[in-house]
Amino acid sequence: MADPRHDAVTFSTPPRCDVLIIGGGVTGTAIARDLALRGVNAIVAEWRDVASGASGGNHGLLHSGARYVASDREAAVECREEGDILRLTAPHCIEDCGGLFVSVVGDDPDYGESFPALCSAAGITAKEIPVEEALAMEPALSPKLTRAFSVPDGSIDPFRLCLDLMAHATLEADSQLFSHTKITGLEISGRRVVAAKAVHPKLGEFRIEAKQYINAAGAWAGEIAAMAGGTVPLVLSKGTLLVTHDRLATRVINRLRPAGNGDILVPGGTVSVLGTTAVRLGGLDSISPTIAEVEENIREGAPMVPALASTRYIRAFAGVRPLAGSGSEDRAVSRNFSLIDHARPDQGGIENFTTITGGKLTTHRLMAERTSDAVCAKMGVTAPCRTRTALLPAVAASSWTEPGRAARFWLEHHEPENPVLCECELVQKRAIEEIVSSLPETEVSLLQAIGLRSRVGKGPCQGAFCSVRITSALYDADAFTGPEGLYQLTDFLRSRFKGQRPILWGTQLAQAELAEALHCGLYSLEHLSCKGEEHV
Amino acid sequence: MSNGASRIPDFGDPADVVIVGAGLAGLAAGIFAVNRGLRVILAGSTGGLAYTTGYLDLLGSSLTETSSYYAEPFEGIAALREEYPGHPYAKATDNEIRAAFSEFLESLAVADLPYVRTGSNMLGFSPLGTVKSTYAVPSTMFSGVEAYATRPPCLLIDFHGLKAFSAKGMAAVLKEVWPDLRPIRLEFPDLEWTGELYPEAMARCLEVPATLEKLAAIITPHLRGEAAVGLPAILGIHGSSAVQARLSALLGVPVFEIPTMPPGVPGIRLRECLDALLRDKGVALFAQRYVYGLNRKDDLFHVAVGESQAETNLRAKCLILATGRFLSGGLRADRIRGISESLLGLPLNAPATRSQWHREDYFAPQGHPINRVGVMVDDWFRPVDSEGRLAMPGLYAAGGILAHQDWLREKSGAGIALISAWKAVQAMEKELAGE
Repeated sequence: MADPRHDAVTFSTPPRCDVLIIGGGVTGTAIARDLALRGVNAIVAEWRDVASGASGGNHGLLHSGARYVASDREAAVECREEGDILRLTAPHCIEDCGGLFVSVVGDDPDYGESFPALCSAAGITAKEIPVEEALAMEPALSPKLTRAFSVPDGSIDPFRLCLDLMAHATLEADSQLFSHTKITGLEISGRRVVAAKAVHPKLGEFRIEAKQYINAAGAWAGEIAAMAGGTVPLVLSKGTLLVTHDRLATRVINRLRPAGNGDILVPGGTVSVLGTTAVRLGGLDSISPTIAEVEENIREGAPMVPALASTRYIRAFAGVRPLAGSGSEDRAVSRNFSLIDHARPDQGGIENFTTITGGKLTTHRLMAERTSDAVCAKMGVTAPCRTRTALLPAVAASSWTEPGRAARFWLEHHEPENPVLCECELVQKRAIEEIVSSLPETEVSLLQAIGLRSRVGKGPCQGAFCSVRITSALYDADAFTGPEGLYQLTDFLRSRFKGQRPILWGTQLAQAELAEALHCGLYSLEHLSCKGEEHV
Repeated sequence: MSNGASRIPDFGDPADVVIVGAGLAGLAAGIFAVNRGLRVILAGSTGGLAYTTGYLDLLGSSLTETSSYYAEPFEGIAALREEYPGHPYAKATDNEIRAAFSEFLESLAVADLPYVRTGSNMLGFSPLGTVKSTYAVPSTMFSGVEAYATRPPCLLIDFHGLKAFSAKGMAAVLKEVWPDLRPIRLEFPDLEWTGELYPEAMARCLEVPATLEKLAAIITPHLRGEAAVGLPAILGIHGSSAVQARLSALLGVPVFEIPTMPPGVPGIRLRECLDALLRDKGVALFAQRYVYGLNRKDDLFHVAVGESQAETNLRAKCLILATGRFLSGGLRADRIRGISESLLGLPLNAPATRSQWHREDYFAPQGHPINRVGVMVDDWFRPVDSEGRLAMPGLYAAGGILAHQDWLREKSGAGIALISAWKAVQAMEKELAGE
């Protein structure tokens, strides 16, 4: 449905590409890059923005594989191998912080007993650390620690990764991101898809023509597959995570027990991310984090890191894991992926349509390789996959997602004409300009796009003040000609609030009160939705 | 809470009243109390006063499915009394509310901070080009209210280096309803260029006549016969109406101020003006102090205050609690224990569970339930429990901490502060006189 705030325009001729990839998560953007390195051009059609689904809604954990040694050795081995490749090819997206698996008084000792051998069998280095030493390494750990093992876990920035994957695809093969572009149907002639029907809030309805069509829609893969008569066995599992105000640990901290709620704490630059919960979903309508999920994470996490019970949280967020398969217990379902060729008669019998789903952030490259191999074979493209060794270029415009980058730039340069617009994270006007100039023409929400591509809105004020300053700066730069900028501002604030609502108590509640005093008490933004600018 | 209070020195003789909290409600209570000859101690921080626009609201908005502005605030107040019988406005008559405003605005005028009140609501600018319905505005902003009502050609000025104030943005937002707004960006005179400008520094500069003349000389070439000129609220901290009059004379056209993003000059003006007024009238001011303990014994309130620890024990026969809400520390919200009043643990009208504090939609027109949580009071603003029993003798509450109101959404913050302070002081006067 087109947004009535925009004038609808339509492409006179449909955009064409070799491959249309539906979904701009880490899988879709990694496929675009893999194909580009084989000389194959793609359009990535994403209904929101890159990494907007599960790709951005997770811990940002680069798994060593140790999490899966007991439940899924194959997945554990894949994680280990892929982690090693990513450390070499995309080091700028990774903080190689290492990880610990720890148990506390009351945890099942048998799991800890079998853990080293299971790791060893999967080729994962797990070294037992004396409890005293582990507490010295990570003072936030519980004094009731019973065992600790170090493993090669790391953290990875999924937003920067997706942006750089897409940028590399553009560089190599002129591949394009069509953000805010929803695929509403597939036009089928005989046994082939001839075009995808798309709708965009500004461009209206249009068609995209390609030789091959890839469904990488994550949790939405079932809906897309159904457009061509296919079915994707998926379990949708909602996970809620919490972001702390401070970074509580240097390393990834995992609970040494079978995977459960609130048992992983991952550093994310200046913060720590605690999670997750697992709630089976019937649909995808309501995926905001809830208070009950927040409480569950804290209750389960605090025995491992006691400060989690009293620390200040600045945000919660939720993602929906698309787990391949249809098992009963979400964490028992394999984290492996499934690649579906819809040419199969039971999958719609469509020759040029492929679905890739499931998997993990850590194994995205392998998923892209397998998918690209299959699709290239259909196209007669023989160029081999290069992503095992090719370096992922670090693109300037996506570097602002890195915590501390903006602050360092500000300290080093201190330019008078480059004022700080986000005072929590010291994001300056120039970073905003660089991001805005990097956005695809399909972008419709500048503030949301800036938020995804920078630290704006990630600090203690959660965007309350900087969003207003940035809106004013965008007006100065002629980004808006009417009230549209204010609508984007209210949309941005609404969406930030979803993540704040379940963690509002203590200091963060006071912060939220200040924010509302500004947005409603001073600017009366709540009146915008009903255009109540006149007296009644 | 009471430990410490016994070991620290007492301040002077017991006063009639100690006011805890120096936001608008606390400062207004101080003015009303000295106007009635009471001996007053005022302690606490200024809270959110620096975050005000300078507009003094009475009742601007209705909180129905379609938020809309009230042109006549007392019509809205009548409706509010029906819907929220516990609302602070339900504890006063229209005439009492008018009288509280009159007494407060007269004091401000005497202290050279004149306000304009028409009796109806006015629409005042925000720096995003939105408007807000308010009841009294600083005289330096009134030409802007008049201009918004008739929308003649106006020049809108912003300054290179002043963030979150875009004349171009305001003109774009208002374009449809006010096509003749012409934005320009100017360089501010006489401030060393460091990349950013701050409203307070600009305002203090413009108190210097030579700088004001330079500013006029910079603006003049841009005038094209406009009916008025709008600029950010920077026309001096002290004597702002004289600064405004002088600039208008130099330009030959009325000038008006538009609030900036907080912390802004209008709040600083209010605070400095009221501080000076209270000091002149002999109020003992313990500004920017924290309260470390509060109790009542031997018919006296004891309040332990200090900058980083309890340093002084303040004593008074009565106490006005004007400690504000969560931001200023009057209320606390704990993940496990829920919402509480910070100093005395007074009964609150708090919902049972955290899930009832906020609505899902940030901008839900009905507002968030947590904003109506607060201290329940009787018709004289004395804290009571849910059965209506008085919490303790001599105790009053005023301002944002009160229950059953949502000042943010109602645009009622100043009105609630003034009427609660005014009625509490009147009741206290009677209590002290033994009536």
